[in-house]
Amino acid sequence: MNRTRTQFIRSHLADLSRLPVNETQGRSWISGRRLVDVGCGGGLASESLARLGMRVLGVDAAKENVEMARIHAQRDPALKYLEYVQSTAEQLMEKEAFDVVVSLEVIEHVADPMAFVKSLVDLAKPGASIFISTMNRTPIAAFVDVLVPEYLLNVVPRGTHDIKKFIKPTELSQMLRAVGAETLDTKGLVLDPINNQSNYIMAARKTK
Amino acid sequence: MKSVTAALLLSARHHPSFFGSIARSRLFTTTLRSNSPPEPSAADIYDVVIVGGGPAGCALAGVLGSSAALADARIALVDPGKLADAMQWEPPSDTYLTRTLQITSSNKRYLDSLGLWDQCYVDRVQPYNRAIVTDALGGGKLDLEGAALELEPPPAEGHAAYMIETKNLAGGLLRSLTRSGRRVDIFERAKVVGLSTASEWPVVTLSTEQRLRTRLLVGADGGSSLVRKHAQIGTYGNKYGQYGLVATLCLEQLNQTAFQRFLPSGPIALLPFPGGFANLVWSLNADLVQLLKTAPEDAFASLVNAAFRLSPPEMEYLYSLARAGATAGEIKAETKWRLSVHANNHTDAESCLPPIVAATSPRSRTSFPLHMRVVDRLVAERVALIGDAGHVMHPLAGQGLNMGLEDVRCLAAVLEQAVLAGEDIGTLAVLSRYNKQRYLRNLAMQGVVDKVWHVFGANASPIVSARSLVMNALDCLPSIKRRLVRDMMT
Repeated sequence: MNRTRTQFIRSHLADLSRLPVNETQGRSWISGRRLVDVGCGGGLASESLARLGMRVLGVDAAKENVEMARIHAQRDPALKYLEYVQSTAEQLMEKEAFDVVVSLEVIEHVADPMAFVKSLVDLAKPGASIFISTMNRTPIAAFVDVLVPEYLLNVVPRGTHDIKKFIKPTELSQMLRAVGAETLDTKGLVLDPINNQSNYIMAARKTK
Repeated sequence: MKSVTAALLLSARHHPSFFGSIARSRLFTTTLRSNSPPEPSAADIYDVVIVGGGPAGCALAGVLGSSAALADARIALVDPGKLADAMQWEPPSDTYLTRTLQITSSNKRYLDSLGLWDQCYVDRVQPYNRAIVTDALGGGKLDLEGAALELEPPPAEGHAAYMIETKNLAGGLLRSLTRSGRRVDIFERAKVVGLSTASEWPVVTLSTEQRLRTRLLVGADGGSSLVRKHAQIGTYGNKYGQYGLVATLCLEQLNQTAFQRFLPSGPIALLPFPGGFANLVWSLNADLVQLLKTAPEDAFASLVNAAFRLSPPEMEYLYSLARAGATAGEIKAETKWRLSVHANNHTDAESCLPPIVAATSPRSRTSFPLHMRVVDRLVAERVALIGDAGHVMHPLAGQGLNMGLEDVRCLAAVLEQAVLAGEDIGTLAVLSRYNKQRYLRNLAMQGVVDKVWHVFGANASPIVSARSLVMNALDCLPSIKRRLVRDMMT
């Protein structure tokens, strides 16, 4: 899933840049941009995004996650522009500082999704891109993301996901619009790339 | 310093653009590094280090070096040989070299599309569109002619395959590498003296005392690959107990067809080159190889003509004459008589026979052992194998480098996609995709080539009849022949 998310983010940014295809293949077109990965966990997505060439700041509230991510990043010399900080989105002082704001598989865990979306948009510069991925509130998602991993295969601890907190794409779009960001694209991940029936990633843009 | 300056001036004088092109791609040789000696303890960091500067390694370097997705990747090519010399190879004006390669149309077009073909001496390349395969014992015949098969759609260049001297392709690829736009650091005259994975990434230690630490190590270092051994990739092989005897022949007329005849002693192949030249590849047991390598050159030419025309018992008789120490004149006379008898009895056979060999190019006969080598897998953590390092097969189908070039194509595509997804290209997650696509394909080709060798090496009459039946049946089925030729061209 990480591979698909990274490919989606890269190609969406490439499309927005309006550059010819051969110029968006390397790293030079994207290298100055600052990206923040909110709720980065162990840094899996942060590393992929940093390898694309952006200057990435990985943010997580849990100290162990940040420490683990830092140690892992040291193994690859290409990740020298990847930094981590222990914080929540609201606590970050750098408002309106980022060209890209990313939050992957986090919003389904927070107590107040609306406040969380606002904190993400606050971090974005005007006109910046915002990417949020989460799980759709459908029976299929309940099966794929909760029943199978938590109850059948037991590879994820029970209670990790609460299906009442799964958010439909339309709901997420509304939340984004309420805080000044316009949804541009949505793509299903994992099971259903077209109809977004289980996991999905949404690309939005902060309007002025 | 004096000798270094002299070396620099020397190379500049012989090849003016060579010196200027250094700025783009760096060529490291012991004579060209003129500043401070290298720090033995510090290691240079690369994304891809390709060990082996043969055609497969150079092709991969060229493809990766010009890939937009890999624009920021650091790539190195390492070889123990004198690549600067290989780059400046001057072809002989009066003959062709005996080590040659067959390249399918599809592989040639791939190299061409990336600007990796045009630096070869193109007038020394023979495009061809027809191959005639015959079986001595069973009398089977298969005539694959691209033009007659009315391929739909008609192929862009009209040729199924190309014959090229190995040094021509190698030199051409190296010259392309040092042209503008390629970002490859070339380490020539650098033997790999150490390979280690102390800190997770492989570190290559060279005989020049330089150390290269790399994200991905590519083994393009041939059948007895050091990289493969280091990666502990299991391999098993089959010695055919045969040698390939190669030579350059001068034909009585121009020729653009490839001929192959299966004899009980092994297949003999005559491959077309421009100007009435031909490349001979004759698979034989050790004692016959010795016999034929040392026979007088004009007798040898007669024996080649005989091998394509006479029956196996007659060939045995000629071999025994040679063993008994008959003179060149005696062998030639005997062969000439038998060939004239043959010609009288087989007036309709002319169309599938190669042109008469007039002479052997002086001192061109040489031989190498034939074997097959299969690997467990083509990849390991931070290691990938391409070309002969991953598969060795009998040359009877001319597929060795073609499989190698398909490896290059596949690996380059896998790496490009991985870079665009922000992946670490050395991880098994990425490399397994290459293995999955190439392992079975290479194995299948090796299997087919091996089976063909066994089927055509058998003397038992049921097998002989069966194989000839199949060959002749195939020969009458244009749809299958069309498929065979189209597979080579697309």
